Amino acid sequence: MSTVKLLWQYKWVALITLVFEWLILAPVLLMMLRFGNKEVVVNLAQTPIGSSNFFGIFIDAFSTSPGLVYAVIAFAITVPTLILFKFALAVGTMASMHEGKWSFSQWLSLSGKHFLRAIGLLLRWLIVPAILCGLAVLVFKLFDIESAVSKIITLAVCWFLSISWLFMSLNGVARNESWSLKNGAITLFKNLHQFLLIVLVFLALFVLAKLMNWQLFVNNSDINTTLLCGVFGAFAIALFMRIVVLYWQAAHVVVWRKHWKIN
Amino acid sequence: MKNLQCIVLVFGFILSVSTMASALRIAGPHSERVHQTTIKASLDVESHRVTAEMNLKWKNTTNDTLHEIPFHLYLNAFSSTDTVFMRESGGGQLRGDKREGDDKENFGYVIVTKLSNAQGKDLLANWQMDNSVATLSLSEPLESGQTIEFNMSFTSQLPKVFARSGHNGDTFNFVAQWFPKPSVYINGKWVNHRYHAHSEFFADFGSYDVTLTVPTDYVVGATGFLADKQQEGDLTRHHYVAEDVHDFVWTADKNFAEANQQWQGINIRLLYQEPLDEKSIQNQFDAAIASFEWFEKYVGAYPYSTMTLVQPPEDASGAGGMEYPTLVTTITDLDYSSFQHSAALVTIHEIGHNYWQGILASNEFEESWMDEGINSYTEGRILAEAMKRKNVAQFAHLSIELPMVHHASTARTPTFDPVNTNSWSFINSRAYGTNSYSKPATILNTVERVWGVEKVDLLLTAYYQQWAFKHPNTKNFLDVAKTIDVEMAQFLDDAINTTKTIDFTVVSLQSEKKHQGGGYRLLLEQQSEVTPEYTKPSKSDLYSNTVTLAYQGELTPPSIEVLLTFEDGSEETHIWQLDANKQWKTLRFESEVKLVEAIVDPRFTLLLDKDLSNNIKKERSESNQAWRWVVSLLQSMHHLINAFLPL
Repeated sequence: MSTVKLLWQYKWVALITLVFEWLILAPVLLMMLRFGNKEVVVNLAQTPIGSSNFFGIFIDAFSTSPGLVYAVIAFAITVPTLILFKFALAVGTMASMHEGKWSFSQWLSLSGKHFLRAIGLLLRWLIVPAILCGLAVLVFKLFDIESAVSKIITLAVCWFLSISWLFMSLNGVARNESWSLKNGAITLFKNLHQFLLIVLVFLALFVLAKLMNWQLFVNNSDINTTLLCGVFGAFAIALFMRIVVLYWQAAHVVVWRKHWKIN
Repeated sequence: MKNLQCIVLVFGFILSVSTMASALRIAGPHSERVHQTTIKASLDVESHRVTAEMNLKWKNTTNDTLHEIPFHLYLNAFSSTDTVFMRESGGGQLRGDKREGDDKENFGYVIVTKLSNAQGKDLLANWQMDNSVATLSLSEPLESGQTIEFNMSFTSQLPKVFARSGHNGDTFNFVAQWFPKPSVYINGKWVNHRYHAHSEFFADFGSYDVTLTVPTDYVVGATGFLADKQQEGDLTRHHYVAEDVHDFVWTADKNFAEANQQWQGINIRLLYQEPLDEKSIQNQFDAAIASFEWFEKYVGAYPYSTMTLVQPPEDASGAGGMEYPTLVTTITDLDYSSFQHSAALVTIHEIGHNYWQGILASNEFEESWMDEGINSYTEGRILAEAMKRKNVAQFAHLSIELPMVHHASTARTPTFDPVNTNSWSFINSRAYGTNSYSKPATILNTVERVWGVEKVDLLLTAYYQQWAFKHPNTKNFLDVAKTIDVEMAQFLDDAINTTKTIDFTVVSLQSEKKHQGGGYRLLLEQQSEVTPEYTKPSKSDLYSNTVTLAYQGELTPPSIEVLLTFEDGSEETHIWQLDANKQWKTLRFESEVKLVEAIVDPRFTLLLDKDLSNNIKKERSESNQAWRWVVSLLQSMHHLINAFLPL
């Protein structure tokens, strides 16, 4: 089965995950909205968002009201919860994909069923980025590499290689198999060309999402844009981003199944 | 006034035709030339030590008879951990650069080894040194108008640089505040403060004739004009002449690369660290030329024929971003950037100092704002007007103008001290920084926006014309302001000499349908048995609006605008004439369309306002604009998590 076909079969996962995510992030959103509406009241004609006058108002509001700080603290507390929840849903999604059919209750059950083993894998996997990124830093030192661009690109490749390894290994957890980390590595390194393709497509789609998000910001700064456009635009972009993430997960399932010749 | 300035400039050019090889672009003397200083110095590049002989002719231009001459020995501030500078700076640090350790190469000093008068009589017994200051007791009183001559030998050991002067432990040497410098006698007293952590310098104008001997493979830059250069074996003598300046500084590094550009009789010389691309080099020249163009248009002529820009190496960044007459240091990161202009801004800032510190030469110990503050204001204008870079930083859709940066810094610093405070007397470093740089810039930005840029231009021009080369103080500046606008001068006086502040706010805004009177209609001649006529209360088509405005603080302009915005987008501007006896006002009026928003000072003229965020109030149902940026911001953070951990 192709990645796109699998992706389409699990399209509701993207939407429902988005709803869960927004529910988890809702306190942060509400606090920021309260801070914004109460402290950073702007007139788009005099203080367009992003303008120097907006910057002045924002800095003054930030300094005179703790609202934004509370929102940031709420975000810092929420993010680990969000990540753990999404991790459970990710392994549930992959397990469901291996079973080949999707239902809401089955998806949540699989998420709960594999969650603890997935956490175990995560803890074992943590050494992988540490080693790969550490080796990259060693190379910078040995070859006296100064270029910041080279450093960033190398570290990014190492990180995505590590992440891809994790997702390959998650297939093993989702299928109740042993030696998932080892088998994940075998699958990844014997399909490196696939890894590159997945990363390239993922990054391209991510950049597209960022551009869309940026365009939303620009439009929202315009006095003529209605708030309704802003809200629907934000929803559409967030949904698109969820589909991009689902593509990443589906691609790893497809590569795994092809490698291990699972029909 | 501008015409007169042009005539002076043209006349100066004519006079200086013969001075194509001269320290002055416009023939002098411009100052009293209190001293003539001749120095012959040699640099030992291994030990970073300068040995020198100095001949000083010092004229008593005051009306008093003097019995002593205090000197500054600034380099002694780095002699031990017990100096005032080291103690005040927490063991030795400035602008983020710290003393690297306790090895002796991190310390420096200047000591006078020989001292005699013109007749050769030894005067060392009269020389009382107290770390960064010294006093020479005169054996005979020095009458007004008399000149005295000394010969000195001295040794200057450069410290490893973290605060302006020093070396980088390798080839770079920045030789600043390196020789015994006479103090200034002004307003009936000597100004001989020690080298404080939060102060710069103050000295008399004079002439310098300095011969520097350094290894031939070293590139040298110095204050003034290179009159002669002679190689003798492995060493080369560089002979520099400077006139009408109050300091002499020099640098030597064999890693310097050099570029030059001429602009209207000024040789701009860039000493930089390689590699540096052509665009970055040209950016430096553009910044320098833009500065000169702006100053000549709005302030006055640059009288010198040279300007040397020095880029210290990365491991000597402590020497960067500092001004000296006709020589300034820039920053280590000189790369041109299209989205932030710090490389150009530092150069503009330091060249600006050649006016406010170099030519006006106020007392930086006691009134640092007169140099740093006015300069922080003019640098913003040069960047915006002469370099056409309105924003100091531009990240895609986010733009930040320099006046708003200064506002943010001013508003966030508690007002415990007036701007006009001795530099070492502020409550803390932050207060020194804000009151010396951002707050004076914000005061001038406010004056520009409230009273108009033309009046500020008149003020700067008149200030230069009246006080160039004369060490003006705050009162002199305010006196000039009074001749332009008394109200403006009073505002400046309050803002500079007091801790008065200001914060405008819209306290409340209500807009609702107007009530039509209703109920029982009771008449005087009402008969008891007749029921009074009843009409039902109703609402008319008109809106009844109430807006309450207020301010806290005393630093008020004569009036301020209030912009009222209605539901259909129409706007009305109301002028609030401010009354010191009543710090609030309620606007009551009717309108056909609902009032949805009120802004005090919609053009952001009063940048001294402590909190701009309370200047706007929306009618409750309209206050949901935060969606516009909150969702984007939160989504951006969320996207980053998804990208790096695609779960």
